Amino acid sequence: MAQVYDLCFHLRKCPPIFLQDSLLQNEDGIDTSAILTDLFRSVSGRFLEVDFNLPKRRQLENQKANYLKSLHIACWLFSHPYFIGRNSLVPKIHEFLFNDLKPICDIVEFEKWIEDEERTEEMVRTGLFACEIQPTGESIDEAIDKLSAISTIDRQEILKKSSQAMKRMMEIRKKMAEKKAQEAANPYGRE
Amino acid sequence: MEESKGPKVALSDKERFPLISDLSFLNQLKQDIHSPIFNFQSGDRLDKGLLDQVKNYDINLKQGKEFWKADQLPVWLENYLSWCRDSVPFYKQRSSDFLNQPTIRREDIRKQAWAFVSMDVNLEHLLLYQTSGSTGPAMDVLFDPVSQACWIPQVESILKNFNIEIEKDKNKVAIAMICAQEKTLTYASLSTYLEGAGILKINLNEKDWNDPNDIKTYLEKYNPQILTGDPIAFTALANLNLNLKPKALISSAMKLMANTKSTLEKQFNCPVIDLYSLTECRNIAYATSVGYRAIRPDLYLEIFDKNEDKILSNGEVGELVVTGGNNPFLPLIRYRTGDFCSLKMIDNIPYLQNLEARAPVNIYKQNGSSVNNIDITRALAKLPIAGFHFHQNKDKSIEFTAYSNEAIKPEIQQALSNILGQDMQVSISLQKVSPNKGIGKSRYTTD
Repeated sequence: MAQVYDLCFHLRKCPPIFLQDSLLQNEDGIDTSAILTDLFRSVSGRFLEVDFNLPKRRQLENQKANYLKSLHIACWLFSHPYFIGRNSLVPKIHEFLFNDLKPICDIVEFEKWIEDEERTEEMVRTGLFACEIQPTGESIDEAIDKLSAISTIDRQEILKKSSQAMKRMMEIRKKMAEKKAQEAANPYGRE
Repeated sequence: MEESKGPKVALSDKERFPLISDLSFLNQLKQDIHSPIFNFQSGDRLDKGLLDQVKNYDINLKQGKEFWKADQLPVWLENYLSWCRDSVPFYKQRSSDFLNQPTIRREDIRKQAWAFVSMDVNLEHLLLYQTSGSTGPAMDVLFDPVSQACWIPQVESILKNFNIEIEKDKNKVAIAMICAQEKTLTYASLSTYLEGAGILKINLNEKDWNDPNDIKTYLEKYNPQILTGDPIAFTALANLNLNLKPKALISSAMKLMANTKSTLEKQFNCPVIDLYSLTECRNIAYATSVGYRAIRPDLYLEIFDKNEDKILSNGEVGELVVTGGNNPFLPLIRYRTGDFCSLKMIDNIPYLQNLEARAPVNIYKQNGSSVNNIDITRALAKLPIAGFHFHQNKDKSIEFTAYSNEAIKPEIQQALSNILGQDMQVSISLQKVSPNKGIGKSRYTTD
């Protein structure tokens, strides 16, 4: 069990250095590969390990700056003592960092992860969900509901659906206005 | 249902009748020297695909598809509900269990007619009527050419029980809709489903004719097979003493009183069928000696408590609630009709009994005891009244307006006194039925 509140508090205390550009894209930036390797060593407890199946330098270079900076922030999240030494979480955190996080970063600006309370909670809950960790004091259904309520991706889906519904409504209303002014089709009896 | 307020002629004949190439009979109906001054044009707009849908609907009706068994749901209901949940925005969040469905009301449709349009439809087929608002605020009702044209097979299925068939003859008028109003849209048209047979919408108001004698000449010449209208229009037509030989009269929109029905049957020497229909779902049932017999297995009927979503059992009087139909622009799930009756299954066919349009109104005698308006309607049924307005004031006195062409004040007085007591103060006003007077539905009101 993990306390969402504790993890949010930890995430908001993310040191400013993690918000810098990646060295991969800016020579004054911080070393993304080093941060990732340190994280996986801490979580796995295998401090001499060098290969955690991390993306190659060239792959990371091509990523958007917003994603790389979000990656730094997420590494800070998983540096919380709760995750340290839990080797079984390595593949799950790997999945989160290199798959789950990326599409969200197309929508969320990296600063929001620590400045916007809801986004802070979203990163914590999404990270816990990826690690299959149930938040303390919440049933699984509650945890899913809470994540769904703040999920950027879900929200985008809802907005997309709402916008489709809005478009459809406008089409029908436009057609109704046209047809109201025109002949319809034979009625045959009174109603 | 009244036409939209001020629609404009906007189509070509090709668009009105995509499948009819020979329009000579239509032109004859329009250009006849005795024709009315038609003020509008209309067609059924059926292309090949749409006509096939109407024909399939007819085949299903003719095959005598089962309704449903007492205490069971119709077999089609599960698929229908699933289709509504998948494709109709209004029903998106609904449960998959029909028995958990809440009822909906006219107001739901009035506020967001668009939300009832299935995502599956082609919006080019959208047609619209705006109801007159005689029983509430005006409402836009959306439909398509198929659900509109299916009126004919539905009525054919009723006529079959009277051994009557509508002849599909492109040189005859099949149906004439008769109106007696100050102003209404009138036109000559054709029915693609009836293989080019003529359709007329006629106003008996003399102002709509070049010469008042043309009403007789024109209608007798084309002698429509089926006349449709309301009791007021039929009474006005009967007063003209025309030599018409219709196969049947189809009366709708207003309650047809028993006396008016028998008078019309004698005059026109044919069955007069009292059809119960609603703008929202069209034809539902027709009157028989044991109640209104349902005609559409695709329309599931239930009776609900007036105030809460509680189903009443067979035999209990409550609000009629309908589900289904064949209009993809307005699919209905548990729609409250605003009309009250009880339901009885006879030989697996649903019958609506004690049908009374709108909620029952309690009328009070001077001693404070109440009388159901249904009993008053029954007592008046034997009189030659085409329509009426019954109003009870705060002091319990009654103002009664009857539309009739006969001097029946004493008979009305007697009928009302028998029900409400000799001490009831009743003021009776008789108004003649005329071809140019639009009259609302019969109704009961109180202060």
